Amino acid sequence: MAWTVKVTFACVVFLFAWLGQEHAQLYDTTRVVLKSAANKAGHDALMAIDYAQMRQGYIVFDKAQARAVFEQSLRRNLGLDASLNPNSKSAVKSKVVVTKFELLDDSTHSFPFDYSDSDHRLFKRLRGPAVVAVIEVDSPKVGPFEGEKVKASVIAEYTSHR
Amino acid sequence: MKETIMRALYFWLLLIIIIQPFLSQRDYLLNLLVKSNASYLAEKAAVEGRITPALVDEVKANIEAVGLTVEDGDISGTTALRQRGEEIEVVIRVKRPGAFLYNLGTVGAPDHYYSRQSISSEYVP
Repeated sequence: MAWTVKVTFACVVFLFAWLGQEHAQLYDTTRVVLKSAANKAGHDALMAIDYAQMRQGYIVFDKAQARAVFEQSLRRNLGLDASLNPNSKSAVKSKVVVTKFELLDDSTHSFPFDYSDSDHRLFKRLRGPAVVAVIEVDSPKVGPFEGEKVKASVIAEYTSHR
Repeated sequence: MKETIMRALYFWLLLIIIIQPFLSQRDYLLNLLVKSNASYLAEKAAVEGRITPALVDEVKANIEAVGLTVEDGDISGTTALRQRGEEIEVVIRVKRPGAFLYNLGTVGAPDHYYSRQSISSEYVP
C-alpha cells in the first residue's frame, strides 16, 4: 500500500513537472515565432515610403500603406485571417493584437533621435526613419499552466540615413 | 514474488520519468533551431532578392551540425530574382527524431520540423 502511494505521488509530481516544462517550451516557441514575424513585418513596412519625397532626399512613410504592409506580413508569417485571427495551422493560438504601431520619418523627426517609450520599455537611438511596433497574443495554455501575454516588439530603421 | 513483479513494472515508469524531460527539451531546441535558421535564411534572402545556393548550403550546414539530416528539397522557396517590395518565401522541412519514449495516446507527433517564412525583397538592380 505504502509503495503504491509513493509511486502515485511520484507520478503526480512528474506529470505536473512535465506539463510545466511543456508550457515553458511552448511559451518560448510562441515568443520566438512572434518576434520573428514582428521583425519581418517591421522590415516590410519600412519599405512603404513615398517615392516622390525620396527623390527630394527625404524618407517619408506612406502611413496607410505601411500599416497595411505590416499586417499583411503578419498574416503571411503567422497564418492569420483578415482580422488577425489564427487559422487551424497557425503557430499562434489566439488573435494577434497590434498594441503599438508608430512611424518616425523626416516629416516628423530629425535624426539621430533618442526614442523612448517607457510603457513598452523601448529605448533606442534611431539613426534614421523607423517603424516601431509591438504585437501580442494570449499565453498558450498547457494543463493548469498559463502565463502572461506573449509580447514582441520591433524597431526597424534606416541605419545609413544621410 | 508480487512485489518483485510490481517493481519490475515500475522500473519502466521510472525510466520514462527520468528520460522524457531530456527528450522533450531536445525536441524543443531542435524545433527552435529550424525556425531560427528559416528566419535567418529569409533575412539574408531579402538582401539578395532570392534564395541563393550559397545561402542554402550555409543553412544546411547549420542544421546538420546538430545531427539532423537535410535531404534535397528540404530547404526550398523563392529562387527566382524578386525586385524590391516583392515577396520572397522560405520553407524548411526537416525530419524529426522521436520526441517521446512511449506514445501513450493514439495521435502521433508531427514527423517533421517545419518553418515557413515570408519577407519582402530589398533587391535593387
